[in-house]
Amino acid sequence: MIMKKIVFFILLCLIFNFSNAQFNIHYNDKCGQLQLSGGTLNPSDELKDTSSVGLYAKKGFQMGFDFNYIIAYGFGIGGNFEIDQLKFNSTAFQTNSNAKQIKVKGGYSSSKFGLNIFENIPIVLDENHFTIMLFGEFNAGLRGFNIPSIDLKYDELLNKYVEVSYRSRSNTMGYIGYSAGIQLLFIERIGVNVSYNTIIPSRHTIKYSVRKTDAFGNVEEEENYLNNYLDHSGFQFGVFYIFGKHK
Amino acid sequence: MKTKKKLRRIILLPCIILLMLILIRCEKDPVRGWTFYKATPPPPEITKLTSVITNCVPPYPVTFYQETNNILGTMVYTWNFGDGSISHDQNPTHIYTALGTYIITLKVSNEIGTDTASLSMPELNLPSIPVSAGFSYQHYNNNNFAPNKIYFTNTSSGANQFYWYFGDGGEDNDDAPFHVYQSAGTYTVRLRGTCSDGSYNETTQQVFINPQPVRVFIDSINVMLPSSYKNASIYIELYHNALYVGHTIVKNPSSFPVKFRTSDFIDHYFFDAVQFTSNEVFKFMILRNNGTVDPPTLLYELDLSSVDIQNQFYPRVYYNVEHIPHIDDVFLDLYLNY
Repeated sequence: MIMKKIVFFILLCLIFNFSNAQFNIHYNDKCGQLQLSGGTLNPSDELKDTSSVGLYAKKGFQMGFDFNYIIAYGFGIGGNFEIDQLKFNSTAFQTNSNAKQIKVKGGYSSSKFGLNIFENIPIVLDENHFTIMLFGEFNAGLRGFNIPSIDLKYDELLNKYVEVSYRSRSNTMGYIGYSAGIQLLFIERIGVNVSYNTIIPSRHTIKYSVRKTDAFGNVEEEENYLNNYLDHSGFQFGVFYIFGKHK
Repeated sequence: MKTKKKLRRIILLPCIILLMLILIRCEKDPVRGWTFYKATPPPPEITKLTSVITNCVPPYPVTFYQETNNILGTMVYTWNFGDGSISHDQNPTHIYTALGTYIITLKVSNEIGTDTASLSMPELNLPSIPVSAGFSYQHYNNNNFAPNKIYFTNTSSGANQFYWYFGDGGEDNDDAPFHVYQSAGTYTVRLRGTCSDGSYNETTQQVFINPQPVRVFIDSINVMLPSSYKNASIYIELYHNALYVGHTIVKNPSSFPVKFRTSDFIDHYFFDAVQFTSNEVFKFMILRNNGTVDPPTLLYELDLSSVDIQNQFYPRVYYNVEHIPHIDDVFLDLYLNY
């Protein structure tokens, strides 16, 4: 009940303020913007699939930072760094592998470093005090991707290999993504933002190594790979700071 | 002018992004999920089936031995001795009271599978068989350093009483005994196998027990070279049984002999696992350093045996130089401790 009242109050304030709203595309020109954010991460269907071509990923989290310099007309360029972590569906993996025991360390971890093209559309509600900004960002760059460390144990009477260990190899790939959202700027300096972000589906190979140990202690090693779409999407919440507006 | 700069910046960014897109590693591999490594465990496999007859006249007691690979789960051994009797022991003994040619079969099974092997024993049809003594042995921990424990395996046939003489005063009457040799030496082990009718056969084998290996530390080396090598850049490389041990720093002696001390040895300064009874070689390569570009020049190579370096006094002066021209004033003093 209280929540509804708060939402209603905010909407009322916004409607009231919009009556004085001014669209100003040059509002943040020649300014820098540093944004720190984190949020949820949802794997693509292929990533969370538990079939023979699936990757057994589960929901995770993301966090990162963006820096953009707005050149003119709300248009800016910048860079971003982001860390993503998707959990691993170890229950389904153990079921499909028929392993007696499973030990998983970590999840799918990915770090992204990219460049941005940024467009910012400010709606000034109260000059010097409160501005709502809509923004869209296109980014592309390089992405590292690692699998979790998985150790399976089998019954010696059911499987030749009593221990199977999967370990990640170094994997680097490119990515293209975009995000869009809304920013609330206070006193022309700091603000909060909420955004939706995703990366465009593209298929990549993730290399890993496997160590197999049989019941007699003989060890075999081999290299293998996963190949599928590694895209994901999520919502980010964060704070940002505007540089260069006040001198 | 400013507009041009802005335009350049705006064009530059998409170009960088395009370059990164080119760098994107679009794999051509087919779609692949996780690979599970499942394979049927191997069934038991009989690799060896042997028998030992422990009498030279009927009734013949026979001990059977099997070696089986892939021992997993609950192993069941089923021996069929060919005379209607069976056993589930791993290595059973069965007494054949009547003469005949028997075919013995062994079936080994577990939850995974079964393997079968058979053994024909025509000698069980003979009124007597010759007594043959034989044995093999194995060093405990696979080394022969004193004190050393040795396990003996009896491979005799036709005998049922055994007398072991181990060569160091020790004796035993077990079928397959073990013995501990306290000191190094060469021992002659004798086994006599005797049948119930009194006939016997003897065999001997030599057992070699070596003293414990030691670590020989090099305190210093004095090297005497012809005066023509004065002010040359000299250093020594050390080898133990062709194994590189280390080398000294480079010295430019203005006179000889030149001394290389402990602190002058860069990597190591000891010979490890020296067995003084073995035919080991300790090699000292005296080299002239020719700088970083040209390889060093070998001046002299001095080889010592382990007996040579087993000094009973300190220091030992060694003059016998091999593999070098006969120059009287080349020698090497080796200062050692253990």
